[in-house]
Amino acid sequence: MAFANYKLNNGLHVVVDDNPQCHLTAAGYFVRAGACDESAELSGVSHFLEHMCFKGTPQRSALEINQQLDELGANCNARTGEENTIYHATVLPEFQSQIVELLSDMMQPSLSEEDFFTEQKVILEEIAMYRDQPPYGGHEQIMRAYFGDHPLGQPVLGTDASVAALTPAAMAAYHRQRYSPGNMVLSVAGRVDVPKLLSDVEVFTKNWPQAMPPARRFSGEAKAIGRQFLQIPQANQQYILQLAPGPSAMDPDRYAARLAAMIFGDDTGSRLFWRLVDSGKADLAAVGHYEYDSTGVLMSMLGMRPEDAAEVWSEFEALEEEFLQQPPTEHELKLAKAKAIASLSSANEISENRMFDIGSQWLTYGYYLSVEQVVELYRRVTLQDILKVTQRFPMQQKQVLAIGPDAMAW
Amino acid sequence: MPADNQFQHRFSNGLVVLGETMPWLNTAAFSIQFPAGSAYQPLGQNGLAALTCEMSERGCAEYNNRQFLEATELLGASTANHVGTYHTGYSGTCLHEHFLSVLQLYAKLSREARLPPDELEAARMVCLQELYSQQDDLPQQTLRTLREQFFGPTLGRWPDGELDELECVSWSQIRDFYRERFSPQGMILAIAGNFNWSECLDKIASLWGDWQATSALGLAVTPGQGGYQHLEEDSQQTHIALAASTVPFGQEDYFLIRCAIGVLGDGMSSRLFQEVREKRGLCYTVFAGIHSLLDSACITAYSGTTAARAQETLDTIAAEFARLQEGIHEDELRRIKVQVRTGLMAQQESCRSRAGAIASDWFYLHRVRTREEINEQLNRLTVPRVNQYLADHPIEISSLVTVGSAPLELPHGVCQL
Repeated sequence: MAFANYKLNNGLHVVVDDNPQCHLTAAGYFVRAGACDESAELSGVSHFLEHMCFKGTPQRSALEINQQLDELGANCNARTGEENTIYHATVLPEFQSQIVELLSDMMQPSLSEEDFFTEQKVILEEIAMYRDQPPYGGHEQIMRAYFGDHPLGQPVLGTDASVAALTPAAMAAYHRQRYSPGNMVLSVAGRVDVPKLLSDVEVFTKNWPQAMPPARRFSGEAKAIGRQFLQIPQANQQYILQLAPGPSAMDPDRYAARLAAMIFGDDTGSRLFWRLVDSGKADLAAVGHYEYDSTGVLMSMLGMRPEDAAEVWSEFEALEEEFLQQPPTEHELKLAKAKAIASLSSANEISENRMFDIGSQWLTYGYYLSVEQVVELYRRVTLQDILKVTQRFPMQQKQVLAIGPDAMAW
Repeated sequence: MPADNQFQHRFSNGLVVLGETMPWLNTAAFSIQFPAGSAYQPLGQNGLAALTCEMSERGCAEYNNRQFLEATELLGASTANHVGTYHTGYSGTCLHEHFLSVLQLYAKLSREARLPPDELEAARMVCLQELYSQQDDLPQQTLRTLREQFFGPTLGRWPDGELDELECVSWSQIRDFYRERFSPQGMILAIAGNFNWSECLDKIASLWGDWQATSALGLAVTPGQGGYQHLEEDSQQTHIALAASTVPFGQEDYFLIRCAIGVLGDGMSSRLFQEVREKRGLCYTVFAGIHSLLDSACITAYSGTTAARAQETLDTIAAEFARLQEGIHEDELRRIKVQVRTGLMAQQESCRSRAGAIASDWFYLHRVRTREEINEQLNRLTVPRVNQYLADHPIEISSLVTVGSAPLELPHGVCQL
């Protein structure tokens, strides 16, 4: 396997992980543009723009884009998050040049009025769809409550009102600022013809306008602590979401934090699993560690029968307390490391996963750690490190949201 | 003719072992299938298979529940279980050096599960919780209802169970189901990835070779009925699912209809995606596919859309089904072929999906297809053949389910047999 990184004259970063053993080629554009970059009036624009990149360019209609993606047999998708937007596709190696050309073209969409207003209806349907699904908009509500005015509190999809108020002109201005080559990474992994890739990308992106994106606002630190209830009369289950501080993507304690989260709340084999899931008290009880540029969160999710909610909640809080009083053991740490390392090694075999790994790392850090290096970082984590990180980020400082048919007796 | 890297062996007790070596990987995967799916449950006991599967993982031989899970996790195995119409299955992936140890653990689970009576209620609660949480998943509820209606009470039963029936399953029913259905007779063990076939086969012989088969029960199938069913739900979206009968996987013509349905509803250039989402902006999700059992199969389509636009969505989907009758075009067929080829290559990067695919091939076809064979099959597909098939076999939508605030009007030709 050979990792390499390049920077084109226009500022675009290209990262490549070429493995001739692979059977496919995966390519993706990683754009530093997400909900945290939006003003209140532009709420939802990053995600809407992601849809519009499939709706036509000066060279292609929406139908032509979709047809060509299918013509190339591309397994293609896109996702928008709080901090970035990713467009990716996996194809047979013989289609490398065509897929990179197509994805590059899609990064400069036409944003025509007609397509904009048709797609606006699809976005409103997407918002309605998520409002019907657990946790019924609860994720957006707790992010807003926890992060307050911090940019991470912005909902990725926006709201009905903000999406309805967006205009093609405002989207075009946002696109000019954020989709500048210096603000993007092209990641290609699997079986890659590297010289061809580099000469292709020079050509495909040579007319991209360059701009200096505004610096990210990292105003304020999230610190809201409280409890809320979102009543959903038609829900059959009760759901509880909790956010508590954790290390950021830049924090050297993040490896220990991930292992601590696994020991406490992985979806199998963790303390939460044995107490709440294996016993059948909850259908869902898990904690994940999410890392952002400036901060991190431990997000807990519980799901259970409404009549059991108070009991499950009180057991959950007792387990949190117990985690501080009875810190993880060597055995628990060994199990967590085995799981983390095995999952990294297995994922590594799939071209698409490699493409995500190197692209995300480069966009976030501007450097790359190999799977072996990351495995070593996990191996080095000691019980002392776990203790330190759980003391730095005790879960007691937390925002909680209960969702379901009945108000909680906390 | 199997490819050079494909192997198979049938033990005298009935166990079939299928192997495909993928030496370029560092991992290996297994898929174990027992003929213990929901179709084999006695009527009135829907949930027995799911609960037996849950109980089987709560300790075996010298391991208790926790020791078993920790043993797999220490070996770095990522494992899962699944109850389907015909099978209860266990699958897992790990680094190749741990593969035989992981297989050994699953041999104990399949032959020596403790089925601890004192864990029955916790296990039952786990299965019930799964059903409770599914009640909040309206697209799944819609597709579940469609499946029950189309395939009937034997094959259409939801493999996760039925709340009231699951509550009544007894420990002795679980014990009997485990004894009868977890047997080498009808068992398929598929392995794929980086391993040495003869070394693995020796190990498998030592683990399962002396296991005596129990006599397997047959399957008496009660067919389903079509019609329109609406379930009232206070939701923002109306969920629409419909079904039409077609030929099952394994029959000569399957690839012709599979290809036509790919054109209709698989991918972003598919007709449904273009007509319903791209041109009219009616929904976020719309797709069509084929759900195949052994002797019967249905074409299904699904979309979820806000109530005010649901009728137009249903009408547009029905119109696209009708238009399909007129045939597909060369460019549409070309796109489907390359999608299939990419999917085949994607399996070469994942031993887990390869193990699952070869187990499935064996069950439906009694052999494992090579990549070359599938490519040849693809090459034989032509527009005139597909279109002749469509002209000779009109698609008749016989089942429709909607979930939402109000029922819809039936478009012309839907559920009017």
